[in-house]
Amino acid sequence: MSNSRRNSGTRPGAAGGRIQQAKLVLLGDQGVGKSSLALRFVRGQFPEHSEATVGAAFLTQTILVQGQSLKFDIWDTAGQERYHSLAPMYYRGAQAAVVVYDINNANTFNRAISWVRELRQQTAVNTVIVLAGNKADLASEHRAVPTEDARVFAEETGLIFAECSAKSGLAVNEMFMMIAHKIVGKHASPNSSQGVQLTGGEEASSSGCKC
Amino acid sequence: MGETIDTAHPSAKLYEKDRSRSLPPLLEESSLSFLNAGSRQVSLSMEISERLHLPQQQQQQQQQHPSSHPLAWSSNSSTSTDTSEEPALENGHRLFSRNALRTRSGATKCELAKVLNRQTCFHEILKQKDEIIEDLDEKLGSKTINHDTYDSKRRMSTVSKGNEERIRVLQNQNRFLNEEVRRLAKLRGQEHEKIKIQEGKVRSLEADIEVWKLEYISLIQSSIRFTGTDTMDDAELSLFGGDRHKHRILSLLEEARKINPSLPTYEHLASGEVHVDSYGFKHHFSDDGLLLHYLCQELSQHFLCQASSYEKHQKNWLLYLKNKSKNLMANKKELKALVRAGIPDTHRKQMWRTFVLAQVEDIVQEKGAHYFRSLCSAAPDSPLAARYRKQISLDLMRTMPSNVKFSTPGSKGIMDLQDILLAFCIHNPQVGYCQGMNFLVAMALLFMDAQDAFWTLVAVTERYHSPSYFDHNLLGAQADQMVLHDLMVEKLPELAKHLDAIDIEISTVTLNWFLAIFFDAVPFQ
Repeated sequence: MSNSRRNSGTRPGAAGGRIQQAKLVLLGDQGVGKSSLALRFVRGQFPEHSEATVGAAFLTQTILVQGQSLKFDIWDTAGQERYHSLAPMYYRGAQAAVVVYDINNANTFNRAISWVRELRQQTAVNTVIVLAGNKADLASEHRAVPTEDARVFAEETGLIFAECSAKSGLAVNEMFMMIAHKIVGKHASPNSSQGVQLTGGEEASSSGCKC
Repeated sequence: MGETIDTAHPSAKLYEKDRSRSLPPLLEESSLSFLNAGSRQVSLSMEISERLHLPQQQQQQQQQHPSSHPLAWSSNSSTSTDTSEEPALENGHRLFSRNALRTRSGATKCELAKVLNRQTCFHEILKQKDEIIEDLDEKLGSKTINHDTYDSKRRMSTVSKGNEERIRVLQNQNRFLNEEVRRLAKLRGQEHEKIKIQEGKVRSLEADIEVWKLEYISLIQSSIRFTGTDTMDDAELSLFGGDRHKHRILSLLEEARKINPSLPTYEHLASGEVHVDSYGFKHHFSDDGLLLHYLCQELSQHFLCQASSYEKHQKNWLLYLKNKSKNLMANKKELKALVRAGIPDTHRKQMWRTFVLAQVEDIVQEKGAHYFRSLCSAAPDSPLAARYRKQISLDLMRTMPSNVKFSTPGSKGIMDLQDILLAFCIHNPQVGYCQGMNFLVAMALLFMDAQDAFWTLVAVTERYHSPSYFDHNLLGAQADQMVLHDLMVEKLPELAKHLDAIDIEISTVTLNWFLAIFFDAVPFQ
């Protein structure tokens, strides 16, 4: 799949630099905290009670990496099993995927493993995949997935691994920064080829103004 | 002895009989004469008769004697003087007593005659007096009448002249006043027309003002923007034009609060307090721009409700509900137009209930009225419910957490939500629980009770949507996205082309619009 072709298009940024766009998808079992992670990253907030996601939610966040702005288009998907069939629609063309599990619930880790396998099969090899063990703030009492097990699996399959907490904010921004570095580093060299893409994107947006 | 007497005077008995026969006519005669005296003399004749009573009896006795047989009389007396021994002396005695009796009877006769005379005298006098009284009565009557008629005639003749004069004056006055009244009535009518026209103008101007207010607020609302770049990060909402617009908004809000006190105050919200709106949603703002944005939104809603078009709309609703109270679904065309224009909050419960029950009528009939309750009681042991119990409980607190009804664990809203979702898993095991249903049910629970909310879920999943909509692959929902895409290509080709060019699949955005029926996708109102 020509996944990264279009979505890595750059735009002139407000600061005179370029804004690179990257599509990121959050996957994982129901209630592991995908939406909370996204919200923590985007707004720095953690609402005690967030709403369950139906279908998917869309958020954006722009960060500065290596002197370059990177805008994340974040697709936060619904976790329930039956929404699985919709997932390809969201991870298609994504440059990064964050597979989230709850470190206090072994089932969610198993589900994460199957997500990783699916992503490996269905997406481009250069897609950045992150394995994120959420709810680390509760780990001292409720941990069900040993850090080592997860780390081993991540290393075996070439994933970025992090244990984090959307509630406390632990390791969340770091994780997204790591993703950003990977993406920016990846696209740093073929920058010239992106110029073609850039004009295409601009045309599209100017035609959009008619609407 | 008695025997001899009886046999010796056989005629005695005869006499006795005679006497008894002859007495009544006599008595009658006398009593008649008294009665004849007239009703006005009854008391008097009674008196007289009392006085006459005794002499009469005596007289009767005396009258008998001459008419009776001498033999019988002697035998009669012999019986009374049976024991006398000297008949001669007896004879003398008898003669004497007869004479004495004769004189006495004569005296009594005289007396009787005198009394009778007096009686007739009295009669005469009374008669005369009666006549006099009558005469006087008559005279008196005629005199008074004479007097009256004479008097009134005299008065009439004098008064009538004055009256005629006055009548003429009054008639003139009356004519004048009538004309005045007519003239004034005409003027009044004209004024009335003018006032009506003016009122119409005022109304339309007021409506215009409301519309301007609404547009002003919308304009301000839309001018509250994210500053900086096109991205949302660390951008703050701010209002152009500084405090001027803010003050205007606040004064409009104060004005609106007089009509609708449930609107929040700026001070209340600005101090960081939580505002709970009429649907139970909590609002809390840390950012002034967001707060003003919210206030604008609330004000817009308020002005919309104040607008005359909305008033008319509400009247139409009332009229429809009144006319079709027996069958609310009677006129589908009219109802559709009304619903499209919005169901007023006051009728929402009733209307939703009607629509839902019309959809699931056959299921309700088949399963019975207590179906929902029996499902609820079966839920704790049902393996069908157990399959989804965990998923459901995960989402319970993640359904409208900003609404007071669903914000505390164990609250009625949360328990109802759980009951309904579990009951549905047993009711329709093929579909079970699908994320999104929680919002549908919560939405229904905001307006209806648990049972009706359950039927709403059934109606939405099994009747309004195709049964495969919420199945394990969400096939129905995905099919609808394809249809939407094709429709867009046909109806909005430019938009379709544009989305295609920037590689955005419309269904990524629209799927949840379809699944949760625009919950969260459009403003709540």
